[in-house]
Amino acid sequence: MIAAAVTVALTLVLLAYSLGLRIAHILHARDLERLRARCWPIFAEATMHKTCDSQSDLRTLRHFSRIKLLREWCRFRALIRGEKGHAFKQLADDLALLPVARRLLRRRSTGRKLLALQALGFLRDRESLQSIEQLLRHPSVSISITAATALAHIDPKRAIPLIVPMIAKHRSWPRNQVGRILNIAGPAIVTGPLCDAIESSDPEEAAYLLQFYESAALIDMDSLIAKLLVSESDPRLLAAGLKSVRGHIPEVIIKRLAQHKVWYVRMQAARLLGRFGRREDYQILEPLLSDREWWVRYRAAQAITGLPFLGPNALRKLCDRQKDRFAQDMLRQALAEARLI
Amino acid sequence: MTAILQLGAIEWVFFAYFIVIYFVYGMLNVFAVFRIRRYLEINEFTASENVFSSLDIPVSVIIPAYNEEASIVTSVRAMLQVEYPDYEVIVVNDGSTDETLQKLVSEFMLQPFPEAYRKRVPCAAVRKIYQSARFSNLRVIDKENGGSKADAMNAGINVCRFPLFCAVDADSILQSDSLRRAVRPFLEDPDTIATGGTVRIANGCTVRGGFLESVALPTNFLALVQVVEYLRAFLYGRMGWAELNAVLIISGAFGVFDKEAVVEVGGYHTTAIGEDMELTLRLHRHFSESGRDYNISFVPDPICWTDAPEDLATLEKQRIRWQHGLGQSLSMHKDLFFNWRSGPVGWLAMPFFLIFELFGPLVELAGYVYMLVAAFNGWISWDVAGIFFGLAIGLGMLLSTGALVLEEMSFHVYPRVKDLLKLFLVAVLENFGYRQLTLIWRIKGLIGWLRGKVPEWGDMKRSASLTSE
Repeated sequence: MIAAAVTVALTLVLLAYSLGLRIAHILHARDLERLRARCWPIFAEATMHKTCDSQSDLRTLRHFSRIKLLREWCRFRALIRGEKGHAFKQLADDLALLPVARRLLRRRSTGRKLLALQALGFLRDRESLQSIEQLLRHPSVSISITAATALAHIDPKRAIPLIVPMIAKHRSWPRNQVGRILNIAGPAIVTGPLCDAIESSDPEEAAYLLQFYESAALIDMDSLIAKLLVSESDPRLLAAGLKSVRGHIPEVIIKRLAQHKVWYVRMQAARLLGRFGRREDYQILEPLLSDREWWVRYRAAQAITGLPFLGPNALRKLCDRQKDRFAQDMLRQALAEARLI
Repeated sequence: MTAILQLGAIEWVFFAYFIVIYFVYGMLNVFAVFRIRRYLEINEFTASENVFSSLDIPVSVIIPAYNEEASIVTSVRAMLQVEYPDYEVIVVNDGSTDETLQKLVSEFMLQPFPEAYRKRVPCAAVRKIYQSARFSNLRVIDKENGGSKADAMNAGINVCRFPLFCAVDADSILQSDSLRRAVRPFLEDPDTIATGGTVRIANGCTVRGGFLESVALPTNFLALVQVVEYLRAFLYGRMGWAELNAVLIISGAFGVFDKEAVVEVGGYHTTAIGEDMELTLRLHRHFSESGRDYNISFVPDPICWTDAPEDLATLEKQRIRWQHGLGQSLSMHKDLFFNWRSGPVGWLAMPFFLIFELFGPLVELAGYVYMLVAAFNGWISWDVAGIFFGLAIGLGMLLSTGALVLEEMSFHVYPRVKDLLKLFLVAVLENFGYRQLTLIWRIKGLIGWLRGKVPEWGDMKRSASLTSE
């Protein structure tokens, strides 16, 4: 009986705890709603007029918890682009949010640290640079990547040479967030460190870094890739290079890579040739339709159907002319995808 | 206390069984609390940063359909509206005998497509492949019936183009951001090969255009109990095991997989009853044996909603099938047990599933029967029997209410306080009758598996709220 009584009592305790959590949740939601109703119009005004001139409104905000206010400020700030961000920073100064963010950075809680990093990044707080740099090596992926984002906001010229060599080592940094960091800094700052990192890394790391080519100046990246395609032999790097090229690559290089022994290099070569759409490349593409690998045939067929000098009739004739059944099937599929049959 | 000290060996076995099982569940609960708290803490900051970019991973969504004429159009329409930058939808009509294919053809203007089909994983013959003239990212594969969902999934894998595929049941109800949430572990950890999501009960909810519009509790008692069961199974069952990279099941209702990893292990096992668990175990086995780093992850967010049986006959068939599938999957991968390379999967999760999930119902029922017989015959005192039943039922209540606390700490899916109270009441009541009933069904499933009997599927009756548009 005692055992039953104890478990029933514990169940009731859990029920009471859940109800308590629910009440806390409801109160928190109401509080947040009230805060948003007050602060978001003031935030919006601050972005419009560059400074918030209604001091009485600010005073009403000061009644709220600083941390909640900082969180809302960050949420709003994340939606703003360009010049308006500077005006909005002024509001944070008026509300004395910077000391709150600095204090939160020293807290152990992950949530608090993340909020602090986000805020300090938006506030471009140079005084916190060193503390944030130390967090780049934090074992928590969320903290280290948010620290990298904050650094890119505060001082991209100093941050990017630090961050870029870490990208290939920190594979747990989500790729889309890394892309975002590089975009914050812009191609002028990213290109140099990214090219240096690619050149000095081993092939596997270089191939990983190449996927961020869009964040760098394309001309510089293309010349680096052209160099890599001649000098390197690692298939992963070659495939990544071919995938990243945006400009022109000499025909002799492409021709060699279209006959590479590793299928994904041939596939990327076929894809690239399709993007060029040059008449002279057709001779390289057609044999790839009979490749033993499905993906190479598929990309070659897609490339051929996209060639600007081949009309629907020519493509259909080309399809009928194929002696290899696999080539014919694949070309027919590509034509159907392009709605040409 | 003195009564406890006078217990014999048999009584101790039953007591020890309950103490160990609830201790492990308690530990899983603790792991889950930490993992969910960490997840929510981080999620608050990363959720707002989910701006799609060219670095997102494209996904092929595979929907196997067998005689789904009632819901297939709504399901596909919903899938075509999912928020994700680059994805394709592949519906596999697994030799349906109803109007499934015709409905798809007319609704989505399907036209025969000359696919250069290649068979990478085994499946029954493909009759025809169609592409939609309205949606370029929709293809339908019409194939011979392969006798299993696994066979249809394999056909989908054979034609999918993207590096990740998402397995979705035709009757699964998603949220518009389900795919984005489920793909996140692949972006955050390059070693991720599979991810599952929390499946919730859709009965009682309002569904419009294939998407969940509002959440409410079902009125049917059986469905209500399953709400608590699913919370228990997903929120701390799988979350707890995920902490140890020992998730043994990625639910067939919704799961995202690395296509090449699945092709490497040979695709779905076409004759497995629990094809979802079997595939997950095979991935564990293959990657642990080859010594490669891998991660089978789990997302706690409620991302998939499913219709639960509301009548005893359908529920019985489902539970028998699940138990059969569990036995079959564990026996197919018995090499993983205490394999020095298998880590927490072979040393903790599989032995736990074998002892407590597969054979547990036998021990539990034997315990109830023995204690009653022993008390009636005077072998043990009624006090001891009382302690035993108090412990067995009381700990069960604690476990279910623990799951409700976890839900309250995290997602608060059920909005009204009345719902919370109702769920607590159900968490208590399910221990008086329902739990014992499922024990009997599970034992039936266990015996069926031991005798090699193929379990029945049975027709699922859709709940009223889900059939309305």
